[in-house]
Amino acid sequence: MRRRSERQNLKDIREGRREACEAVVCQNYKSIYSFMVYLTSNASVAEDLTQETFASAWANIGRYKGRASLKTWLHQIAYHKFIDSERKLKRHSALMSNLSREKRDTPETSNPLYRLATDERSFLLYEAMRKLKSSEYTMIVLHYIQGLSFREMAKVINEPVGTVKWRTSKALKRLKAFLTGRI
Amino acid sequence: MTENQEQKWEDMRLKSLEAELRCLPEVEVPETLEDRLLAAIPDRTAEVTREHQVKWHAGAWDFGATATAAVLILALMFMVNYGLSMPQKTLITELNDTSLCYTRWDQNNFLYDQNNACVEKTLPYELKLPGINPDESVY
Repeated sequence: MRRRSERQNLKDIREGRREACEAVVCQNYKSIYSFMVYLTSNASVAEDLTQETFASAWANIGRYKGRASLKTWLHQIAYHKFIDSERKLKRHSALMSNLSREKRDTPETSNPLYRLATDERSFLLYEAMRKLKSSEYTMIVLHYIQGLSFREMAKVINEPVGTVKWRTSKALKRLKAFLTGRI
Repeated sequence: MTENQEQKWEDMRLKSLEAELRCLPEVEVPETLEDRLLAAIPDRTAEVTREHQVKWHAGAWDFGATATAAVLILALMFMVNYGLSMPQKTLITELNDTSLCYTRWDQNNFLYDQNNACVEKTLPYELKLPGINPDESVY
């Protein structure tokens, strides 16, 4: 049923109906922005990347075949935008890269995630998540926070489903170990 | 037994952690973001899609034309190599009686008249009419 409505929505977008495009934005922008906030830990960068994601989606809507859901497709674009921005940052200056690493390591009031950590348990959880490797962190965010299935995650990061399952399970175990102070 | 119990506890702890992660508070979204994203929707989404489709169709036509040309060339080569008869050259020409009639050459370059009587042997692509001698030309 959901797939059918998505197919109809896609048809409307291709016919140039603005309402269909607006529906796509309304249904997905919060999820994409949240994903970007978790990846970048910076509200303004996350905003920029969200806008770039949607701009890229409109520019390439003709290439979207509908094999994955629109949500998965948008997450895939967003993830690649994030990877590109990280690469650019590293390429332009090592200093900027170091600064960005410091930002990730230290809790700041500008980091929207720390503002969310109202209770001690959430704060500890964010802290433990930050200690994970980048790939493990992405798995946790995609599966548990964004609510994507393993199959959808595999499409987003372009890896086999088995690898995605294994990495997610490993990431969860490491996260638990960080929380219980075993690592 | 104790190991099984331990494993069970471990699984329960992981399940609990999964539940905690799923219940994390949602990220606050800037109020203006939605408006900015809606304003950024291009008016020419349909055109972009159409352009893409046109490109795809153009590609298909190119492929079709190339394939057809290749098949024709192969067929022509086959005909030439295996000596299949080419269509006979025909023309309308003026014979002795100065009346227009339908003539043709066979493969040995013999000129035939309307009644299939051999008029004369001639070179390919050169018309020699009986009774006209180029040497006696006034030129």
